[in-house]
Amino acid sequence: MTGFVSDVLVAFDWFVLIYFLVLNLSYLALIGLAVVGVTRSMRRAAFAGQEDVFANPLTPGVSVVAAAYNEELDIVDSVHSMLALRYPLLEVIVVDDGSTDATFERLREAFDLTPSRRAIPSEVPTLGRVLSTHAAGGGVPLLVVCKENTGRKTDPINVGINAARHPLVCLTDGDSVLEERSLLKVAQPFVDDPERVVATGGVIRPINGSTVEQGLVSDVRMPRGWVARIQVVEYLRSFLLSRSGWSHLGGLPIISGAFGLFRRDLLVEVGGLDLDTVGEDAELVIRIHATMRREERDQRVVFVPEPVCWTEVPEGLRVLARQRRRWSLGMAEVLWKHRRMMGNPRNRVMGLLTLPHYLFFELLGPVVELTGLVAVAAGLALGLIDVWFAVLVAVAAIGAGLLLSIAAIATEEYSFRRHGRWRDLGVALTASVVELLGYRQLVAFWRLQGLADFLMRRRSKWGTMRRVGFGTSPGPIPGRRGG
Amino acid sequence: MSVQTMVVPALIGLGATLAVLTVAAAVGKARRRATDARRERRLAEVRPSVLRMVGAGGSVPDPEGEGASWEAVEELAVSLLPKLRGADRAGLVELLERAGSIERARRRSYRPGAVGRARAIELLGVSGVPRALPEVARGLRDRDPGVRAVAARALGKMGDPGAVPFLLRALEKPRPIPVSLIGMALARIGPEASDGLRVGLSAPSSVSRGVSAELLGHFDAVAAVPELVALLEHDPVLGVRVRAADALHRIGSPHALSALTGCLDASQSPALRAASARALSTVGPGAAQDDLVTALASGDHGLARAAAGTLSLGGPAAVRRLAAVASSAGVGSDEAIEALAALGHAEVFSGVAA
Repeated sequence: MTGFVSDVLVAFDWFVLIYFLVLNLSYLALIGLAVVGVTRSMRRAAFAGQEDVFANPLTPGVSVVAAAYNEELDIVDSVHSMLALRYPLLEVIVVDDGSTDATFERLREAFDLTPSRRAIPSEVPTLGRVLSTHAAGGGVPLLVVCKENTGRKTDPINVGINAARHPLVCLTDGDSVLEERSLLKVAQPFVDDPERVVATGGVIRPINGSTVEQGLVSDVRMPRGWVARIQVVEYLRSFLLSRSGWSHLGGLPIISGAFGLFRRDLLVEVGGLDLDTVGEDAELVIRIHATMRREERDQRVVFVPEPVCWTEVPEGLRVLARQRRRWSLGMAEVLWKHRRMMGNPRNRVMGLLTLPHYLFFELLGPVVELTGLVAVAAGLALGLIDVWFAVLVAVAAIGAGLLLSIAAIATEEYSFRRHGRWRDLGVALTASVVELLGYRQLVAFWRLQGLADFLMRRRSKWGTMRRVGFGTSPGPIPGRRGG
Repeated sequence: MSVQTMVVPALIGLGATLAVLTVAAAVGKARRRATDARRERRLAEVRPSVLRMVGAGGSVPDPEGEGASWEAVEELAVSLLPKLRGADRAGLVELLERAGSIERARRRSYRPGAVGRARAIELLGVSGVPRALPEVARGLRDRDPGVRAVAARALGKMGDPGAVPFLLRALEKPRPIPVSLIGMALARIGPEASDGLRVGLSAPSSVSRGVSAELLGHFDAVAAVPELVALLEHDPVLGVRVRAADALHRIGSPHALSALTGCLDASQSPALRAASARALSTVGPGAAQDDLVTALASGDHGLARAAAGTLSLGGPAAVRRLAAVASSAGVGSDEAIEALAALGHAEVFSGVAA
C-alpha cells in the first residue's frame, strides 16, 4: 500500500513538473508572439497618423455606452473623460441602473439634463424597464437612461446597446478613465479594414496612485500599496503579453468590459451581452468567434496593444478575493457554455488552442499549483523527493514567474513607457518579486474557490468596492461634430 | 543524464535571462530618455533660425552657416510645412531645394532601408514638389507596409489630382493599403479629385466603388449624380448601394428622387431603405409619404427612425401623418414621437401623443 502511495506521489510530482514546463513554454511562446505584435504596432503607430482617423470623413461614428450603479463619487469625472475623447462623431450613453445614491443627481447638476423622448428599440434582450431618458444641455452629446435595477450587470449595457445610434458601440465601465485618444486607437482597425474587423480592445491599466485632471490621467504614478502595485504588474503581463499574443494568433478570447469597441449590427445579431453569465465580456467575444466560424465569415477580433483605459483596482485583500473568485467562476461558466467549441477544428485557433489553454492552464492551474505544493511537501516529508531537487524546481518555478513579469516590464519600457520615473521601474521590479511570496498563492486559492463555486452552482454576488474617487474638478467639454 | 544535471543549466540560463531582461529594461529607459533629450536639444538649436526665416517672409538664411544640424532642419521642416501657407511655405520649400534636400530625398526613396525610404517620401509629400509624384506614387507599391502608408499620406498632402488613380488602385491586392489612409489622402486632395473618383465608381473592387461614392458625397459632386444613381440602382454589393444613397443624401439633387423612392420598396434590405429614407430628407422632403409611412411601421428601428426624421421635415401634411402614427401607440409610434419632439412639438411632452 505504502509502495502504491509512493508511486502515485512521485508520478504526480512528475506530472506537476511537466505541467509547469508546458505551461511556461506556452507563455514563452505567447511572449514571443506578443513582442512581434507590439513591435509591429509601435512601428505602424509611427506612420498610422491617428489624427488622420480624426479628420477622415470615412471614420464611423461611435456610441460610448457605460452602465452606472451607485457611482456618485466618480460618475461625473468618468463622463467628462468619455466626452473628452478625441473622436469626430461621438455620443455618450450612460445607463443608470437604478442607483440608490445620488448618481443621477450628480449627472443632472453637472450636465444640465432635461427629459427627452428618445425611442429605444428592443433589438437585444433586456430585463429592467426603462423609466426615463434625459439629454444634456448645451449640445453636449450625452444621453442618460434611467432603468429599473434587476441585479444583472449586463442588463443596463444591453439597454445602452439598444439606445446606441452609431454603427460602432464602445462598451466601458462607469468607473473608468479613458485616454484622450483611446477611441482613435481602437477605431483605427475598423477604418482600415471596415469589411472584416468586428471588435477591438486595448490595454487596461490600474489608475490607483495616478492623478486625474479634467477627466484625463495627467500624471501616471505607481500606487502606494503593494496589493495594487502587484496588480499593475499583473495587468501589464495580462494585456501586454497574453492578449497581444492571442490576438496575433487570431484567437483573442476576451475584450475587457472596461473598454471595447464593437460593430453594433453584430452585437444585435448575437443578442448583446449574456444576462446570466458572470464573465460576460469573455462570453461575448467567444460567442462572436463562434458566430464568425459557424457562418464561415472572414471577420476579425483585433487587440490594439496600446494603453486606452485606466481603472481603479482593489487596494484591500477582501475585495480582491471577491473579484478573483468571481473571475474564476466567470471563466468556468464561459468555458462550460462554449465547451463544444473546444477541439473543433472549425473554430480554428479559438477551438484548438485558446480555449484548451484557458481550461488547462488558467482555470485548472490553481488546482495543479496548490495540490502540487501539497504533494511536493508530502514527498519531501516521506523522503520520496530529493531536497536539493525540490529546491531547484521551486527556484525554477519562481524564476519562470519572474521571467514573465520582467518581460512585460521590459516590453513596456521599450514601447509605451507610461511610468516615466526611475522609482516606478524599481517598484515594478520589486512588485514582481513580492508577488511570488504569498500573493500568487493567495490568488490561486481564491481562483480555486471560484472554481468550487461553479461546481457547487453558487452564484457570485457583485460586491461594492470602496472607491477613493479621482478627486478632480471637471473642465470644459469640447464641442463635437454630432451626437 | 539525470534530471538534476538538466535543471541546473536551465536555471543558470533562466537567471541569466532574468538579469539580461532587467538590465534591458533599465537600459531601455535610460536610452530613450537620452535620445529624447538629444533630439529636443537639436531641434531647439535649429528652431530659431528656421522660424526667423519663415517670419522674414521668405528670405532664406543658410542654416549651415549658423552651425545647425541639417537633419534637424529637415525634421522641423516636415513638421512645419503642413501648417504653412503662401510665401512662408514657398520660402521653406525653396530652402530645401537650395540645400538639395528634395533631390536627395528623391534618390533616397530608392534606398534599401525602409525607414530611409519612408522619411524621404514624407519629405517629398510635405514639400509638394510636382516632379516628385512618380517617386511618391511608386511608394504605394513598396514591399514595406509602413512605406506604403507614408506614400499614401504623402500623395494626399501633395494634393495632385493626378494621384487619384494610383490611390484607388492601391486599395486592391496584392499589396493593399488600409482604406482609412487612402480615404484620407483622397479627402486631402479635395473636390479636384472628383473626376478621378467618378472613374472609380466603375472600378472592379467594391471597396474602390464604395470609397469613391462616399467621397463624392462629401465633395458635393453634383456632376456625379447620374453615376451615383446608377450605382444605387444596380451595384451588386449592398454596402456600395447604401454608400451611394448616403452620397446622394449629402448632395441633395432632385434628380435622384425617383431612384431613392424606388429603393424604399419593401423588397429592399432595411439598410438600403433607411439610407434612401434619410436621403429623401434633402433630395425631396415631402415626397414619397406613403412609402415613408409604410417604412415607419416596418418594425425595423433604424428604418423607422430614418422615415420619421424625413417625414418631420416634409411640411404640414407629412407632420400630420407623423402625428397620427405617434398617437396610434402602434409600431413606429416611439420613433414618430421622437421625431416630433425634435421639432419641438409640446404635445409630445404633455402626453397627447403617448
